[in-house]
Amino acid sequence: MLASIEKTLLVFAGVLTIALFIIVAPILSLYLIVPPQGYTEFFGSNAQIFVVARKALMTSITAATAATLSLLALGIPSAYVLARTEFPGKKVIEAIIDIPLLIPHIVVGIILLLTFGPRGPINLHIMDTFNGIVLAMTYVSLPIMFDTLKIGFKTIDEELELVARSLGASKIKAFTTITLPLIKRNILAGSLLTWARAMSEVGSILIIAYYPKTINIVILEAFQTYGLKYAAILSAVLITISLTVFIALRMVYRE
Amino acid sequence: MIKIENLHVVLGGFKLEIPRLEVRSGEYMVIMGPSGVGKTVLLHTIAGFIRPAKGRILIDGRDVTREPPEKRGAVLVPQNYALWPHLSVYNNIAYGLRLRGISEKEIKSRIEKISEILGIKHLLHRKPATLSGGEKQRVALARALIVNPRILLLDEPLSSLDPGIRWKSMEFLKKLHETLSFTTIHVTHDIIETMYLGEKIGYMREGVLIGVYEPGEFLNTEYAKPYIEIISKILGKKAYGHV
Repeated sequence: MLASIEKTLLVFAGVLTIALFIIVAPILSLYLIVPPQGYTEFFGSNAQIFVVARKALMTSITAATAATLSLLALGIPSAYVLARTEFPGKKVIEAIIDIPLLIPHIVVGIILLLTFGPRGPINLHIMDTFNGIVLAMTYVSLPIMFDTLKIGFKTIDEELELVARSLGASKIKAFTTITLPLIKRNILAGSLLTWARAMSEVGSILIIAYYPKTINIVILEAFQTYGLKYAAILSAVLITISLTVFIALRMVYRE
Repeated sequence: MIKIENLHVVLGGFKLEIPRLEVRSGEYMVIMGPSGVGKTVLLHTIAGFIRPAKGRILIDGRDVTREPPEKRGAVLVPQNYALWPHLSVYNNIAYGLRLRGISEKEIKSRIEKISEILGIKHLLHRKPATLSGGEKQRVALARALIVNPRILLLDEPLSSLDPGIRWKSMEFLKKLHETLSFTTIHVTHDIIETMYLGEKIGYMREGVLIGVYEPGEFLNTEYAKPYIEIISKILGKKAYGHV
């Protein structure tokens, strides 16, 4: 019996290895293909493509950061309400929040344009603007941030907050001094995942705001114009930056 | 002093009814009743987390029924003590004083004083996760008592402790009360705790406070009877070697 269980585990572990290979192999092959001077070219060359790519990378980073911050502002109060209260229709609201996960991203671009574009009922000047990029990124990443924060709030025993209140803290004071610091890991994880998701968004941005160009758009153009050569360099830089942010934040928050 | 008049709380299908309850200043009131009878609901209503359907709560003569928890001076010590894991023991205890804008110097001297009384001086720089159950309880008591609460609400303060230290802890609570004579409502399902600590004893059944008794009087009620029978059986066995 024991031997058969171990055999099963061995097979499962084999499956896990395949999964890891699927993730890691493409990244490794990218690093093997791109020569070291690819990176120096990216950051130093005056060739048109790299000038454009550097600018686009900055646009992507600032837009993704802006989207992450706006989702923190939206997500913290919303997730708290959903985690701590019961009310009729809550399940429906929770389902609505997950909708962005289900809509193809090109379609997200179309519906945002229809609603908030120049001819939409609410014109938010999103057509080919930085704000348009931020809005698209915010829309597609919203469920990730909200759900991560909600899980965080749910794990915090409400009595921790009640004690603070009984000791003389107002609701908001108890929230900011007790509850919020206790979910800092979820805030970090939510921000990281949101940021990464926002950085990788391209479908909806293609529709709403082709300009100012984000790094993904530039990679797409490079691929269509020159094939893999430049696209690979740009991709390697992008992956390196994302991985660096990911690892750095994880290390900062490891206790 | 706390006075409760004709209090009704409705929570979904559950109803709590406290016709009348009075705890004098410095008095140790124990409210006993089986699990699920609404003892925690009562404490949460006094603390202001639950709004009653009708009735009044007066603390030191002031009607606090509509006041938010932070204005009442009724400090809760929950069953699991609810120490804040991200703060050191020192900062847990300092929390209530900092809310009151007291200087750090004054806070330090007050913490020294209370941690001396509670025997937790050596724990001040530890994080709550590293404390034993009994230590957690003392820290939670220090955190509550340091703000001089008008009323201390103890929710099953001994039930999460190991049996070995429960009795010690019970004795400790009694001594602590003799030293600091805080006004307390302690809720429990345990008759030993009730008889040992209660200066007055309230008995709850099915969401209703049936009555408030002197300890001697409570022993003669029908509610104490099943417990008394068990205890006399145990004692009888020991004394006479037969049942």
